[in-house]
Amino acid sequence: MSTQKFSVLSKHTAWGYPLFVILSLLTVLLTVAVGSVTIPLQDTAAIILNEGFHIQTGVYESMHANIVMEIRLPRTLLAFLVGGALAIAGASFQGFLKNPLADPYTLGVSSGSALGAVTVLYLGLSLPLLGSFTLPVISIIAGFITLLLVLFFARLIQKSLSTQTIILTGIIFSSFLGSLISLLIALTGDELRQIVHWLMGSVAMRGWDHVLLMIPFFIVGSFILFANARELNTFVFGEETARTLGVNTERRKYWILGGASLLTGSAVAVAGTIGFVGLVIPHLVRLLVGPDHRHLLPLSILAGGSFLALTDMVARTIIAPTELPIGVITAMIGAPIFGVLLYKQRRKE
Amino acid sequence: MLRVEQLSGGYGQRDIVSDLTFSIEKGTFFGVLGPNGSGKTTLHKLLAGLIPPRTGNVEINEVSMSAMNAKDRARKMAVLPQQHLASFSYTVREVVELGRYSHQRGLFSFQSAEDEKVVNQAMNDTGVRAFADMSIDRLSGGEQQRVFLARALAQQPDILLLDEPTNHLDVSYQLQLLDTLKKWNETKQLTVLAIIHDLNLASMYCDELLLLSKGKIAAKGRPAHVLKEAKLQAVYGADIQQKYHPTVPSPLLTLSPSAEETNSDSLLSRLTIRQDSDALRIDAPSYFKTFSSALIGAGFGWANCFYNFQIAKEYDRSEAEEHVYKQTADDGIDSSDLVGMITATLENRSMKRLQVENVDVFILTTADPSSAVDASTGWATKPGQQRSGTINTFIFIEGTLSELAFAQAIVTATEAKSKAFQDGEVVAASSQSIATGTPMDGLAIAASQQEPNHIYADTSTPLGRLIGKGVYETLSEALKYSCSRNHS
Repeated sequence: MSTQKFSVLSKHTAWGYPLFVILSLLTVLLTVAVGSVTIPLQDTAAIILNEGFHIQTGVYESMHANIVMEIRLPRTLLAFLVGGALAIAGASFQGFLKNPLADPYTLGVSSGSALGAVTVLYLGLSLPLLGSFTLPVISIIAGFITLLLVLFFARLIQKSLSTQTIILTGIIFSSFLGSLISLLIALTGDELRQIVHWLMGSVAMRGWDHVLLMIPFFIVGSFILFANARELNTFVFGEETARTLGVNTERRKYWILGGASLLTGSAVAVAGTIGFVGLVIPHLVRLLVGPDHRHLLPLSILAGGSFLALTDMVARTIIAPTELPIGVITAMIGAPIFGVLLYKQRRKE
Repeated sequence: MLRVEQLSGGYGQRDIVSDLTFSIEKGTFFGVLGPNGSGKTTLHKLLAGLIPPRTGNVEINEVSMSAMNAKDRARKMAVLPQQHLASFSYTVREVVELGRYSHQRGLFSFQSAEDEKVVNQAMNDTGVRAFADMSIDRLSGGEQQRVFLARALAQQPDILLLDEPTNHLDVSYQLQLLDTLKKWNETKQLTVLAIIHDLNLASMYCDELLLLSKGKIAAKGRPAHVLKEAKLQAVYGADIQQKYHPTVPSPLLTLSPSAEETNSDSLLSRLTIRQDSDALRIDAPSYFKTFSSALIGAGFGWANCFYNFQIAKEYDRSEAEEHVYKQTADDGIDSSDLVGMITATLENRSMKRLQVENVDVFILTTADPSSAVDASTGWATKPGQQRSGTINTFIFIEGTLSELAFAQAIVTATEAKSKAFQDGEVVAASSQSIATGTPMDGLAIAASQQEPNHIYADTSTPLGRLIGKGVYETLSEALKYSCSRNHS
């Protein structure tokens, strides 16, 4: 009897990590293999091992190697990074705001970052020293400022920052920022029409450049949030409780919001606004392994990455040769789940 | 161990509490009381470091809290929060482990063996170990409260702060929680500082109380000292009466509704007195608070019906009691509304209404001194047979009497009675000396508990003087009748 007495958490995390890692590897393999030209799975694995890690495992066609290394693998990795970044950012926003409905999209952070990105594109900005990093950096800063404004405004409306108030405020900001983006696009005429496609979210037509652009932000942002996982657990019980438990809330608050903005802004800069990944994924991971952020954050990265890579695969194959914007699919899955969560939240309150 | 010096603070520019200075010894169960808006919660937040003080200083073990960082502070002081809405389903163990945060160092530190031991101990002590792997939102309100208490204890604090810990709990949980706290307080020398709304709980559990009023200290000290009626009434502005708890030596307080029946006519003018063949009955228009040595309704009580029954001179006490109950039941009177005495005579009686300024008293006395004794020498004589020859006195008073006033009224009336015996030269048959009274004398003080207030009724006060005069005069008159009747 007593040997059966696992804790729910340890039981789930015990298989959680290997399961999620294996799932992620399989997803990468699958999404790289599937497309207009389908490449056998073992060939795909061999190509990645040989070209990427110089481990000789088998023979394959060199055309397939080109497709994998130049087109599919960077695209899949980018989708994975973006999905992971949005999911961990969402999990952090939810923990910090004690609000299961918060995510970069519903908070308006994505819209803020997008406005920043579009402004850079519109003005053709390239800041000295930053070079190609101008786009993500401005995107991140714009997202962070938007976040602070949303929280400030929500606090003006209602001091206790209830779930609904924050989401409503986020939607108000999203609409407003969205209209500014539309205005910019209308002003530019034809050249930025492609931005519309990008705005709905897409990892198409990117290459290794974008992957390399994303990676430093991804690593720094994730590291910051991992380092604040225990603090996030205390914030779930309210900022005052966090403080009485010994958390330096003033400082930690900015680390958490900054880290999450870093990830959101860089994701938006490379892939546009992709909604609901940050909402749905943490929710599912929480159901599987519990709400402890020390496990929730890393597993959300793996789950969010896999999810977006798979979604991208569906987006580019379902009505081939036409590609759907990836944001269309995430919204089709995410919005109903958002509704269900909102309903459950109302019942709780 | 906790010293608060000239602490002022509040929100924005406004100070809610100002210039508070007090200290708490280690191991004290310290309660903070006060009406809404008195600054209790502000004081709590200042102490917990949730809002910065504008001036002043808080020290724990002679270290200023402002010099501590958040983790140092959390190792000294834990807070049991008032509300616990967790949006996500943490397990009980995960919640309690958060209490170890302030003891962990480094960016990615995980539980040490020491942490694990303390967490298990805290769960054992609060009786939540059995739920360790259950989700906290599956637990009842009281169980959740205990989980958060375990989390606070896992901080291993010197002092535990609670803001109205019993606010959302039903009565049994309130007591359970306070019992647990009290046990920790006593066995581990944990200092507890609790804001408590319920005066009675505060009185039962706290060693020391601080009464706040408008952001200042109105009183501090032992519960019996702080919970003085007058002080509480001034602070709470409500009508609070102090009693004593039936089983615990703590003051007990009750609130009474402020709107009472008001009638410009004096209640004493509306007493109705009736005499049947075997009873004298006085009905009051409303309930009077009574303190008496009557056969029925003795001690403190409330009554609107007062009976003086005539029974045979030789009687059996229980028979008499039965007779009275039967008689009143026949008259349709609830015995709990009754003050009932027994007497051998209804003829030898006298009554008087005395009024001086705002003091208004009505006194009725019946006297049969045939079994009179001298209390000072009575010990030398054999106790005789129970006889119904007694002096029965009913004193009705317009006004609210304190319990002290009730007791003093008894003393005053008794002194006046003895003097009447002395001046009437009533001789105790057994000792052949001047008698002081009869065995089984009945005395009832009944107060309307309306305006005005009488805190005292000793012989130096207008009320005491009227009682003395009234009892002396009515008894003297009744004795005179009895003498004249005996002589004739």
